[in-house]
Amino acid sequence: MKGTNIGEFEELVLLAVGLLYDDAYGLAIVAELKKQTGRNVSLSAVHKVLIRLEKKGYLSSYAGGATRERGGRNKKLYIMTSTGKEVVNQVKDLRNHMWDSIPKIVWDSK
Amino acid sequence: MTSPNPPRWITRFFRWFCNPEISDAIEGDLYEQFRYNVKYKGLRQAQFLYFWNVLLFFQPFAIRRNSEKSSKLIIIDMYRNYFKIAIRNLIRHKGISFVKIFGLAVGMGCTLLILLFVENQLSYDKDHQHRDRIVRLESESWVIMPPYLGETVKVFPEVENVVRFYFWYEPTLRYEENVFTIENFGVVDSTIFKVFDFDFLAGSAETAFYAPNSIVLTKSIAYRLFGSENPIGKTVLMGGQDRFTVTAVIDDVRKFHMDINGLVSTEDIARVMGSRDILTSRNFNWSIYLLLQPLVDKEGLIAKINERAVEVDQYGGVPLILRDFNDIYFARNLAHEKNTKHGNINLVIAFAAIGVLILLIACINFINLTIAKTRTREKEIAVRKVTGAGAPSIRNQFFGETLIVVIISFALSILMAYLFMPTFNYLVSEQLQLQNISIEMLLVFVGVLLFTVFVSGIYPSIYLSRVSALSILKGRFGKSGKTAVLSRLLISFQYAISIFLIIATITVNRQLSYMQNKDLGFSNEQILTCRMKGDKFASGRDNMIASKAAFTQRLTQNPNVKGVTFLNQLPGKITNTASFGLTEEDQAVPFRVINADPSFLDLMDIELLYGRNFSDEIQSDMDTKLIVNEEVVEVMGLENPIGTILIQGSNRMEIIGVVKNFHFNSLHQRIEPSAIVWDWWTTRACIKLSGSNLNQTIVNIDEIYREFSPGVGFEYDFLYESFGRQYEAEKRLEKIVLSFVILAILLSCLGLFALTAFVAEQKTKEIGIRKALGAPTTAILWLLSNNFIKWVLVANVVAWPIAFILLRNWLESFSYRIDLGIWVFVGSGVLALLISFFTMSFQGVKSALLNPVDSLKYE
Repeated sequence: MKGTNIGEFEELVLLAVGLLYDDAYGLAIVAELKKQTGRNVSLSAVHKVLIRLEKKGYLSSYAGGATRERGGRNKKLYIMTSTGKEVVNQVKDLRNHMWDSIPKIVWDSK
Repeated sequence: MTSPNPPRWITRFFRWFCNPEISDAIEGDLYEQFRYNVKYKGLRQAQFLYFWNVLLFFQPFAIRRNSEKSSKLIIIDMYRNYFKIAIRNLIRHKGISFVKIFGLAVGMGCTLLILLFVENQLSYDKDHQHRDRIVRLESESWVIMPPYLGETVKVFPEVENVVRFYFWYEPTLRYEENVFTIENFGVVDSTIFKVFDFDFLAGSAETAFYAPNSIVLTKSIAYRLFGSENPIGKTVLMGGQDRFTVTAVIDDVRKFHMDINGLVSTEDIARVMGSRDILTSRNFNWSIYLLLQPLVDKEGLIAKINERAVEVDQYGGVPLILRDFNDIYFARNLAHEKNTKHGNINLVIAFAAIGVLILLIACINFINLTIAKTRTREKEIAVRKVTGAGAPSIRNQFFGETLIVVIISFALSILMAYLFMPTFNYLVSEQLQLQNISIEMLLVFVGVLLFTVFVSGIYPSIYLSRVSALSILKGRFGKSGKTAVLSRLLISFQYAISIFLIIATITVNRQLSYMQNKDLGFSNEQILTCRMKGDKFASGRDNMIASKAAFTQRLTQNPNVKGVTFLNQLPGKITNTASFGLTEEDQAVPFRVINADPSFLDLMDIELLYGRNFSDEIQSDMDTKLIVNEEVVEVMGLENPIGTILIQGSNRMEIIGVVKNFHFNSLHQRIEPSAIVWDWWTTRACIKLSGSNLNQTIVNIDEIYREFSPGVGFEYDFLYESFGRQYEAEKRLEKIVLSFVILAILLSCLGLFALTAFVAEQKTKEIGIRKALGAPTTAILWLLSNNFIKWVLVANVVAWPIAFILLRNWLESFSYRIDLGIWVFVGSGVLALLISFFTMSFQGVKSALLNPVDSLKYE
């Protein structure tokens, strides 16, 4: 597990990239996070995390999808790499495992 | 479709700072977001958000790297290497590094302390905005004035305001259960806050003395009295009966030439004191300060004041002068001042000079050791040059190394300054604190720091950056004697400083013990002095004579009291003068006049040469007869002094005796013509005690004193101590010079020690070969030290004339002084030589005793 720890926000971004599948670029992720979590996230924060995740090898990117709305500029589109997917899975497994290990009594007592 | 674009300047700003690899995609995102915002939030808000989001990208991850990545890395690596090499070198030569860092730290620590002291002294009296317009009214002979002169000068249009201070009153203050006596309590005119500025913590300058019976206290007094309660509006009981209301609290008065703990106004005290009117013209106890209008001609003003003073006066016709407020703190030898602190500008200068010298010694150590060490670095430099380092980068490297050492030393010096602060404060009798240093002084100190770096780093860096790589690698370099000469020169300079300091210490010491042991012509041992106060000693000739006789009689019942005499002024502080002449037209000679009584000569052991003493039996001895000293006889050229009539104004006085000269004032001053007259109004009792059971005797005197001066605390002093206090400045100078001299010599030795050690290391092989060929230990020792010894001798030649000139000037400030003996100079030189020789032999013997096999195996 060591070395694959990622922060909560990183995890969210990673998940959003997966969720958006072939249209995962900065602004779309901002919108998605807003939709999913209700948080107002700044564009720069998302880009920062995207760059970091790409450096760590969890994401890869390609250019494409220039539109009029973007003043003719390319999007930087991200997809999860296999390590990225693995990390998301690990995180999920870890959570599930820990969640399952919580004794019943915790839920029963108020 | 004419949808708006985001402001261009923001976009341009973004492109300017953003890393081009990612800027395009981000710009697209920003643009898209802007369009969306325009649609849903309006143009203005969209523009603002655009700007805001661009700003949020101004972070390291998005900012463009300035130069190409690769070259930047190399530079960083290079500096990292410099740093590593510097640290490794420091660690490798532990001894030398220690001496370098420690020496520099001591030097800088001293400088730091000295800067604090100098700043503290120079900042006295500087916090008053009108300080350039304030003057103090004094006479040529003394400082304190009668109160009415304040009123006299107030009428001049040049004078904007007048404030009078009177420090005589030490009242007890009571608030509920808290009672204590406060010293330094000023009775002042209510104009004080228009002339001087104090920090008001509560209340204000305008309202402080607005209402009658107001009292102003300092923070610490207010705290002692009221604790944490709010003092404003509280009523205190003063002197047990009068109620005063606290109207203001000022911050503790520190950087002011007067100590002040509390203030009340003259008007209130005059009203309260009633019968004992403090404002009578006889009360010569006031200090008078004038606030002048801007650009007043002071010469003209004082001339006018003098004219006016003669008209109103009672006052004795001693000319008045104006002393600038700015000059008061460093003024010297002022007579009859009340409650005033003075600094000694000479001490400040001496101090600063010593500080510079010590820093210089430390710098020299630093330079010498750095130069010595650079020899071992030549190969490193050569390799650096071969791989492409230019002269500038070598220079930078060595400046950088110096900087590292200086920074470490600096941190250490702060620690040292902090640790030695209490000792230092004791030496200079100030309360300095490291954190109180001002911005200006900090800048000066940083300047000193940079200077140190520059001076210490410049030689090695220039020298090493110039050498040719080829000659080093071929082994030709380092044979030139240039650097050796420089470091020897610096060593002799260092020793010159040390020798100078040794000579100065010895001379100051000798002068002081000379003054303390000089036959003063009178005895001041075991004489207790106190001042008689109260009604019995306040008024009327007969009353006073009777009281004193009774007091004397009671005291002498105690077998430990040998005698009592009454004077008007104590030895060391005789300021009373009068002019005497042989005829009325004759040019009068000013005499110091001691007002005493018949027991005076015996009690003080003053030798009567001819004539007789005053006699209790002869009534006319009082007021009409004089006893003079030898100096009078000489100055006036009296052939037959006994019976000579001297004329002073309308008085005719007959000389009945001549005494041997005695040093009643400081030895800074010459013996002046002096006369002893018998007067009845003297109030200072001098009580001669005999040996045993001093405490019991003092308790006894205390009891008797309280009978005669009821309600007044018994305060006494010993004449020997109060007399010695005149030399306090010199004594302090002695202590300070001594401690710094030891420090300076220690530093020089340390430097020399490290240098010899280094030379010995360099010559290991040579020593080994010589020993193998049969050289004795002494020859090896000589080999290592002869060069240094030559230069220490040169140091003497430099130090002697400088020491001679400076010390002769210093000694000239004393009327009675020692001669500058040649042996002091020779002795100091020999001492320096011995010290340096021992320092060197320590290392020399070590290497001389080394087994040649070991030393030849070296390398």
